Amino acid sequence: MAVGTGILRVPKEAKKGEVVRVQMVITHPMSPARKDPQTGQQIPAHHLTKLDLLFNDKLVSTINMGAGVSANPFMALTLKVEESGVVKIVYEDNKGGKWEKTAEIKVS
Amino acid sequence: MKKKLLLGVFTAGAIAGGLLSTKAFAQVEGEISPEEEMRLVQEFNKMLAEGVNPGEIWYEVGKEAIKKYHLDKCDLGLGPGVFKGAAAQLPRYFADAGKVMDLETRVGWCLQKYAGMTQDQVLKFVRQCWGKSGNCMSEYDGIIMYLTMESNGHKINVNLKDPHVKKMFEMGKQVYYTRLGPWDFNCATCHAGKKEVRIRATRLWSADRPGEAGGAVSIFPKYLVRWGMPMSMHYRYAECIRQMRWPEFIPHSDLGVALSTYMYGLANGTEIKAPGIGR
Amino acid sequence: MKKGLILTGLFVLVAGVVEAQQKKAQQAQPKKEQAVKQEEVMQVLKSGLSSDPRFAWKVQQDEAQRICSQYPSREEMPASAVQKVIQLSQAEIKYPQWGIYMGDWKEGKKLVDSPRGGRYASYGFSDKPTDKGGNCYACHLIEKGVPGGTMGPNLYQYGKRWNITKENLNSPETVEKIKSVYNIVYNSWSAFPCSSMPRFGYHGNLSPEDIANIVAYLLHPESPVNK
Repeated sequence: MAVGTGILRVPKEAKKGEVVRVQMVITHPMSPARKDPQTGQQIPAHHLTKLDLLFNDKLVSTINMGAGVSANPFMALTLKVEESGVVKIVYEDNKGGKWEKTAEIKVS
Repeated sequence: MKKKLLLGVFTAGAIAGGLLSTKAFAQVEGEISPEEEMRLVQEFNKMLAEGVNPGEIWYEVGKEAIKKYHLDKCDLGLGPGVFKGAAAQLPRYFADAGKVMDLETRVGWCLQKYAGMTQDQVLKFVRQCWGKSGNCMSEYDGIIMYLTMESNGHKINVNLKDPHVKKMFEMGKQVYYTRLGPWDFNCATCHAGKKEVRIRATRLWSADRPGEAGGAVSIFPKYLVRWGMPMSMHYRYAECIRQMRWPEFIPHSDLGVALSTYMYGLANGTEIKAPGIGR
Repeated sequence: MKKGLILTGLFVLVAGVVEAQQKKAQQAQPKKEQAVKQEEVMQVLKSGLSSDPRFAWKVQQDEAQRICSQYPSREEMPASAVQKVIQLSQAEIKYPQWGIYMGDWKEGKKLVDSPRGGRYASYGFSDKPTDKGGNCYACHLIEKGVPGGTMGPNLYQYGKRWNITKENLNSPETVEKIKSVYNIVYNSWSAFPCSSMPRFGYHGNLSPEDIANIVAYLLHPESPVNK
């Protein structure tokens, strides 16, 4: 319901050495700093800044974002899996919000 | 028969001639031709369809909202609180309300009955994100998204044999063809006819070409990238009616139910696949 | 001999089937079976649309709209209905002052490009009362390279195709041509009964001067449409 909720989707099972697609959608306005056209007041920027992808607590990828990314961004990263484990994404925005989500993959 | 054929050939020739001439000019000038732009738009739509649909976030919102507003007592036709497959058999006649209702109208009725809202409060609740183009999360949109997604995979099955539903279907059909307003529009201006046409860059679905009505309604609520939120059927009616230069649409009215009954009736047999995604 | 007989037999069969189809089509022609009455339909419509008194006039159907609502398309209308609509539409076409049917094409271009005007809502995206336009690109392709719709005919090089040049701009034949295009834009149902094209002048969406400007944009040899 709030800003920062997200969906993390990974395949439940994968073969050893397979490259899987980690898909995520995060609710966020992703707006730049702008002026309200009616009142002329400055509205500060509000957007995600960083997203880390960790596999079994080891950092795999980082996405650095700015306000140019569209609202409620859908992102996909690839991940080569050698063992079963937990995929975790940790993301934060420029107003101090920090969230994380996890999902499991079984590798045979 | 012959006249229709001639007219068709003439129109096709005119369009082909027009498109050909524009394409030729575009290649000379180095700018994108209308067909090229159209092709890029179709590709964009195809890319949107892959991947996770942001509209699915509203599923969780709806789950919470249904508990909050006591809608687990709401009977959508399969029993109180039974939601799996319920949206696929709507619109239908409800004896306790004495009228035919579609999904949104029934949710509005249940909100009045079980959450203690008045008619005006319900309308305000429905419209809370209308007209906003971003950063608006509506519990109502969440409820509709949740209830529709619970019917994903079920085929639309409006019972047209029920006399009440049949009357509403006919009513919807008549409304569909009623010319009204300062621009003489009706639903059929854009969404009827055998010929495939487009309005600017958007292909239009037609009630006269089989299967297209199903393709259009089975993916509602549809997540719109330009607004960053899903659009429910009644919001779609309100926007279409605004573009037709008719007076403003009132959600959950008999007009909405009539249109829903007609379109979902035409869509019988199509699998529900919510949420859809579009520009 | 046998082959000839079989062929003739097939031909007669096909002809018979086609005739039966045509007869069936004629019999299934409207009036559509009125399972619901016209008054009930209007009742449902009015109850579902805002009753704001400023827009009450919008839900009044005029005679021509009533006739057109009974048939799904012009092909299925009987000749009498088609004649009636043409008659009603030709009755009152207003022309600009001093009988000048062509105006300023630069002003016409603005109206042709603009999709605004007449779309009111209590939420968000409402038009301003001073907005006006024809939204022509929704249904037509007009200038080269500009994306447009295909619901109406392609108007690219319209004036050139009507053979209107700088030399014959003031000849009586050209004035007749310009006048007929003016009639179409003012009230399209006078030439194409029950057309999808709005009757811009008839309903007052555009003034006679606005329409003259649009006609100039479509037909004048200097206009970008004809270059």
